[in-house]
Parts: sequence; structure tokens; C-alpha cells
Amino acid sequence: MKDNVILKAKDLSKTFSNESVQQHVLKNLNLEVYRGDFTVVMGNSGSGKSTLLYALSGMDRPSLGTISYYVDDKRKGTENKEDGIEISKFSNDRLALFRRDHAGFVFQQNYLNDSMSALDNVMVSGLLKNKDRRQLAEKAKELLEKVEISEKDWKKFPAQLSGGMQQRVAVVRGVINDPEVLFADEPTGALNSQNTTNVLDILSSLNSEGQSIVMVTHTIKAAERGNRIIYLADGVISDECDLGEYAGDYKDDKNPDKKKAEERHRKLKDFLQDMGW
Amino acid sequence: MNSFKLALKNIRKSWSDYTVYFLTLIIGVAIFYMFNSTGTQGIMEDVSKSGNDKVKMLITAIEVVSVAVALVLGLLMIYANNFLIKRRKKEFGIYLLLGMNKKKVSKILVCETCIVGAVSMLIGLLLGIFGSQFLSIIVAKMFAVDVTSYTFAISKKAAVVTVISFLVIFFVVLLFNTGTIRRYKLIDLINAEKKGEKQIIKNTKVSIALFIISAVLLVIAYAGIGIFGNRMRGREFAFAAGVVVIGTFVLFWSFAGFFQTVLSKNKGYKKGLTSFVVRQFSGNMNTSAFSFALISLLLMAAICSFSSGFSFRTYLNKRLGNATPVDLTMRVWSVKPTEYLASKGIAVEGWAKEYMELPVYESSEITIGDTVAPVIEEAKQTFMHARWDSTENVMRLSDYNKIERAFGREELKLKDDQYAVVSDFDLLNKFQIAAIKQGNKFTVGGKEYGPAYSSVNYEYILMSGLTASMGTIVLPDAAIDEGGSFRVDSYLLIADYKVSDKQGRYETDALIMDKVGASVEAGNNGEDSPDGINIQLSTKNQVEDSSIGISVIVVFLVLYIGIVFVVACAAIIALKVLSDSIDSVRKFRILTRIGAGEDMRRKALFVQVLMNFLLPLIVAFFGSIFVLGFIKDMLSTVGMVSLGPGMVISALLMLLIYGGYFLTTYEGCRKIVK
Ligand SMILES: Nc1ncnc2c1ncn2[C@@H]1O[C@H](COP(=O)(O)OP(=O)(O)OP(=O)(O)O)[C@@H](O)[C@H]1O
Ligand SMILES: [Mg+2]
Repeated sequence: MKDNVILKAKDLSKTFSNESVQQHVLKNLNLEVYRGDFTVVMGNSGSGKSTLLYALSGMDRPSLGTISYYVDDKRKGTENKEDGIEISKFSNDRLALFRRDHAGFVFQQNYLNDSMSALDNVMVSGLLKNKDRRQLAEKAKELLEKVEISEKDWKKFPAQLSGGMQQRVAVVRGVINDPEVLFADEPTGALNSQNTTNVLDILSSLNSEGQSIVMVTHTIKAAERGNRIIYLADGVISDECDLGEYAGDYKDDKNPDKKKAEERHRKLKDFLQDMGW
Repeated sequence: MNSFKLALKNIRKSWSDYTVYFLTLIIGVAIFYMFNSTGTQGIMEDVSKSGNDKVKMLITAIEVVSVAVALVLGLLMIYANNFLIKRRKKEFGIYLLLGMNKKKVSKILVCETCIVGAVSMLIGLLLGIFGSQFLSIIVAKMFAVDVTSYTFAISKKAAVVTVISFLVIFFVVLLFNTGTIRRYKLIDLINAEKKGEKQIIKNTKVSIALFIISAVLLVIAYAGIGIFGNRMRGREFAFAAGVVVIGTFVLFWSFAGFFQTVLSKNKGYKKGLTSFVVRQFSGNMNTSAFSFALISLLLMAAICSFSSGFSFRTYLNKRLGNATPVDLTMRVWSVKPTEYLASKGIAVEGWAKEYMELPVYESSEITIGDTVAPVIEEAKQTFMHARWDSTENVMRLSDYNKIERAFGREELKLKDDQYAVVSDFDLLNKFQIAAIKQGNKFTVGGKEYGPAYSSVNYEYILMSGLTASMGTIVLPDAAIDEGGSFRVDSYLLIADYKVSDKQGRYETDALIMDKVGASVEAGNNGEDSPDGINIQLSTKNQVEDSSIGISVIVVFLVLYIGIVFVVACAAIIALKVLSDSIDSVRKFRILTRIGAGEDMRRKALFVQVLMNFLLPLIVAFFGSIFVLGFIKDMLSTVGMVSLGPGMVISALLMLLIYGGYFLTTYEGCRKIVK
């Protein structure tokens, strides 16, 4: 198991100070994320899920503690793979490069660039890392096809696409650079049920192809997709639950693994009940 | 995708955001060029060459104002740019999230600024070049100047000054922008979306009380300035002005609370989207009372500046009639003017219908110092380098009265032992009057003379536009004819031409100046005359033209300042309204959801934008009525009366600029909210 660690947070603390009041959101949190996992973070509203995600992904720096990535990094000045790359002390520019090379993002809002077409949005992200335009365009188109955004929509601007389509473009943009980890903060929070299923299917499919994912969510429907559920409370991980591989929709009668799926669903519900969710 | 392409894409797609920025930049460049090129435009060129000191002073004033205007425009640009940055923050956040480093993001921004800058500079310069031609023609028409000699001209100097000034401004904007990016935290991207509306709740009773108090204070202070302004001393005036400034600020600050309370009592309040608009607008007022107050004060300054500037022109045109009663005045030292001119081959009889030649005397018994003897110590403080022991000009009463008759003025009356002082040199007048008040006496040829009048006779002898002489003492004829110490200092020649139309006068002027121009020029510049004869000469046409020049410059100055103020105000309001509407997109979306139709929403938006533009203007107009009353009072003491036409022209100009900004803003908002 240990070999498979992709990211390790040690004694992570995050404190916000607002006008003399200090709020300790994360308190000496320890966490290991494994390669190939679909890790789901749950917890009450305000428990610090987003804060944790921002720290892990290198969007924001923790107040205390370390975050190490066990990935190949050819950049100079970083430690070798055994010790991991410690990102919590990186400069802003270094962090930006790190995000570019190793992290992908999907949020509740899609944060697409309004002034660019769907394809350009994906391409801009890709071109930051990969200079080969043709190869990149092919890959982008392939991925867009895969999330069922057809050629006629590639040149459309975000405002001309439906909410579900926008979010799918955002997912494609998040994985165009083959990130080590795809970070998702309530990626389906703003979508209707049909689009939610759609986007979750895409995430599951990406995960089955080996993409490591860390996702924050509020809903059981989304959490079911994960194989490992982490529950955040009082600034630490209060418990976690191993669900095993996603086995499809537990309500779908045509699902060959329906039994297994029902079992997973029950296990998750019990776990969350225990957590007082 | 390189930075340049990204920047271009951004600009193309967010054109509506850029419109106000572009508009302001283009207008800024254009008026800056137009103003700086005035010195080289047709009639203005003649004026600046005339060598008149006051004209030179005014031209310096233009340069100073120009620098100040560049500063104002610079600040405006930074403000406008900040709005754009605010609009783009999300984009930059996305780039940073995707792993672009800040340097690259800055580079995109630099590219954007450069593209926008280059395009607007080009358009602005073109507009300025054509605009300045247009303006020249208008001004020429306004002052009835001959425009046949007028040619299309591009001022290289103005173009260079404009380009350099705006390059500096763009550079500062760039520094600001890169600073903004440097301070930007990625996490702000996410937090910006979460940030809720700050709702400042004010105590409505206090608001109402403050609103009424500040309104009353404003009326009192304005009325005070309007009615008693010109009798106020400096400190009182400053106090009243202070009350106006503070009153305006408090008025706007308390307005929101007042507005809401009053309207909520009103039954129609809940109808339609009124409540929405009211809430939007009061929220706006809450956060930007200061800007509103500042804008309304600036607008007031612009209105007053416009109106009084135009009226000043009318006044100067009228005054010209009195300033040029004859066609030529001339003073020649050491020879008689008639002999001098004859020796040059332009005998007076050849071109003059009527003329008179009068001697000016001097005596070591009457020095300049003697004319201010009782207060000479104070006078020395003011004129550090004056030569107090040089002799004063003296004229015989009968000679001087010939001038009075020729100029259509009242004759002087002196008793045997009296003198009179004639002077239009304001700074020295003060001391001459003080001396007369103390009964200052001269002793000439053993006889004492005392003042016949209680003050200085504020009159000129040589027509010279706005230049002044040190003064002349007028004595009874006997005092000079019988007193031994007088000798002739110089002669005056006062003449009317045979021709009586302006063009004819130009020709006669040319005839004379052709022969003596070099000597006149040398005298004006304080150099030795080429023919050894010192002369001073001015003609009706010369005086009129230079005086027109001065009023042209004043009108330019005033117009310029007015336009810059109005543009600045309109642009600030426009940017504010636009950036507020970005913040209220969500609220408008909610409106749609609760069933407000397209028409209703558009109306709500229109009213909201209109209120933002109208309110400061109303307060400014109200204030300027009183302030203009004060200005009118002040100007009427120098003979200027009507402000009416000036106000009409300024109202039209304001409407044009202000209205243009209003419409652009409304369009922009509609696109944002849609
Ligand atoms: N930038 C910030 N400044 C100050 N306090 C913050 C900041 N960001 C988050 N917090 C605080 O930290 C706590 C955790 O916030 P966080 O957004 O991580 O919660 P969350 O678990 O993601 O909640 P939700 O499920 O509602 O998204 C909250 O109490 C919040 O007020
Ligand atoms: Mg959250």
C-alpha cells in the first residue's frame, strides 16, 4: 500500500484570522492519498473540506505542516521520489508550475474563460505544458468527443453552452495535461440530476482508466463513486471507509453488479450515519 | 497561444467592457492634442507671436493647466483601468489556477494595455487633429477673425507632447496592473464568488435628519456665496466654500436612508420594480457617497467654468470698442514723429486724415519716487528693482485734454497749483493713490502743487492692449511753460487713418510697419533700435487682434478645463455604474426568475443608470446657479453682465458629453446584465 502513496499531508493546519478572531479550520490533519484511488471527502458545511482541497492541490498554502507529492518531477531543486516533493513552502510561481504539471481542477462553478471557445479553453490549459499544437488539438478533440461534446459545439463560447456542457468542458480542461491528481470541489453542485449523473460517469470512467481523483461532495450519489470515503470533522479526519470499486447504480435493474452496488450503498449510508451526517 | 493572441482575443470578446475605457482614452488623447496644438493653430499663432507679455503669461498658463490636465487624465485612466482589472480578475484567476505563472499573466495584461493604448492613441490623435481644425474655425467665427488665410495644420509638437504624456500614463497604468497581479491570490478567485453583499444599515431617523440639515446648510451657504459672495472676505468665503463641500458630502451620504424611508411611505413603492431599483440605487449611494459628492462638485466647477468663460468673451469683445478710439498712437524719443516718419518716406499727411503731435516733458524735480513719496518704503518692497530716481512723464493740461477729446473722454480740470496723475498700472496705482490720499505735493520751479483729484485718473495714453505705463503727471500749462527745469522727453503722435475699414487699416499698418517695424520690434524686446531712434507704436488693428487673442486663449482654457472635468465625471460615473452592474448580475437574474419581463428589467436598468448620472448633475446645477450669481456680481464690477448665452452653450456641450457617456453606459450595462 505504502508504495502507492501519491500525496501525503503531515500535521496540516490552517488558521484564518479575521479581525482579531482566529479560526482554526484544519488542526494537525494527517492524510495519505493513494495512486489510482477515487478519494471522496465529506463533512458538514464549514468543516474545512474546501480548505483541505485547496491546500492539498497547491492552490493555497497551509499555515503549518507539510504536503509531499511522490511523483516524477524533472525540475531542479526538488527532492527525489523517495522523499517526495514538498510543496507547502513553494513560491507562487513554483506552485503555479507545479499545478500545471501535476494537478487538475474542477469546481462547482466551471471557471471557464468567457472570452474563449470551448476548444480554446481546453487548448489554453494544454498549451501551458505541451507546445505541440497539433498533437494537443487531437487529444482535446478526442476528450471532448468522449464527454459527448460534438464538433459543432467546439467553437461555441461558454455562454452558448448548457450548464452541463460547460462543466464537461471544465472536466476535459482539468485532465488535458494528464494530472497526477484531479481535484474536484463539488463538481456537480450546480447541476441537475441528469447532468450530475453524466459528469459523475465521466469521472468514474476517468478513474477506471487510472486517474487519481480527490473529490469533495455533499451528496451520497456523488460519494458512491469513490472507493475511499474520508470524513472531516473538527479540523481532522474523524474516520474513513473503504467502499471498494464502484459497482454501478444500485437502483438500476439492468446492472449486473446490482447486489454489490446495493451493498456499497448501504455501507456508505451506515458510515455516514455513524459520522452523524 | 502566445500572450499577444490571448490579449487580442480578450479585447475582441470583451468589447463592451472596453467601450467606456476606449471612449475615455480617445476623448482624452483628442482634447489633450487639441489643447496643446492651440498655440500653433492659425489665429492663435499670430497671437503667440505678438510678443505681448500677458499673452505670453496666458500661454504659460495653458502649459501649466495642460500638465494638470494630464494628471487628471492619468488618474482617470488608472481608475478606468482598475475597473477593467476588476472585470478580468476571474480570467487571471483561471490562468493562475491552470498553472500560468504571474509573469505570464502580467505579460498578457501588458499586451492588452498596449493594444488598447496604441489603438486609442491613433484614433484619438486623428480625432484631435481634425477636431482642432474644426475648433479653430469655430473660434475664428466666434471672434469674427478672417479665416481666408487659414490652412490645415498638424502640430508636430502637440502630437509629440500628447504621445509622450500618454506613454507615461500607460506606463503608470502598467505598473499598477502588474502590482495588482503580484498581489493577487489564487484563493481570491474562489472567494470573490462567495462574497455576499455588504448591507450597510443606517439609522433612518439619523439619515433623514442629516439629509435635511445638510440640504439647509447647503442652501444657506450657496445663497450666502451667491448674494454676499463679493462682499465676503477671504476667510468668510473659505468658510462658506467649506460648508458647501461638507454639506454636499453629507447630503449624498444621508441620501440613501432618506430616499428609502420616504419612498417606503409612498404607496407606489411596491409597484413594479421600483423597490428593486430603489434598493440597488441606495446600496450604491451607501458605498459611494464620496465619489458622488466629488463628482457633483467637479461638475459644478465645469458648469461655472463654461458659463463664465463664454461670457468673458462677450465682455472682451465689447471692451475692445473702448480700447481703440483712434487708429494709431505712437511715441518717439529725441525727434518729432512727423519728422521721423517723413524721413522714412511715409509722411503723416500721406496716410492720416487727422493727427496731433504732443510733447511729453520731464524734469529732475519730478521723479517716479516723488509720485509715491509718502509710501515709498512699501513701494520699494513690491518693486525691488524699480529706478525710483528716474524722471516721470509730465504733460501740459491743454495737451492732455486734446487726448481726452480725441479719445472721447472727459477733460481734466486743474487749478494753478494742482496736478493730476494718469495711470493704468494697477500694481503701482495702489501706491500712487495712497500718496495722493496723504496730500502728496510736488515742488517745481519753487512752486508747490497739490493733488486735484482724490485718486488716480485710471486712463491710458497709448493704446497698447493690456500693457501699462508707469503713469503721467498732468500740470497746468503755466507750470511747464514758465518753470525752467522742464525739457521735452518725447513726442506723442495720435492719428486717424484716411481709410476706415479694417482691411484698409491693415494695409496702412503694413505701410508704416514696413519702415519702422524693426525699430518697434527692437523697442518691444528692449534692444537697441537699428536706426538709433526709440519708438513705441500701436495701431487699432494690432490692439484688437492681440486682445482677441487673449480672449481666445481664455475661452480655450475655460472650455478645456470644463470639458476635461465633465469627461472625468461622466467617465467615473460610467465606470462605477458598469462595475456595479457586474456585481448585480445575480440580482437581475433573480428578477428574471421571479418573473420580471424583459421590458420591466430594461426599464429598471434604465432608471438605475439614469439616476446615477442625473443626481450629481442636479445637485451641481443647483449649486452653480448660486455660484454663477456670485461670478456675475464679481464680473459686473468690471463691466461684464450677461451669463445667459454662456450657460446655454455650456448646457449643450454638457448634454453632448454627458449624454454620450450615459447612453454608452446603459448599453454596456444591458450587455452585462443580459
Ligand atoms: N479565506 C477565508 N478567510 C477566512 N475564513 C475562511 C476562509 N475560507 C474559509 N474560511 C472559513 O473556514 C471554514 C471552512 O471553510 P470551507 O470552505 O473549507 O468549508 P467547507 O467544508 O468547504 O464548507 P461547504 O461544504 O459549505 O463548502 C469556514 O468556517 C469558513 O468560514
Ligand atoms: Mg466547500
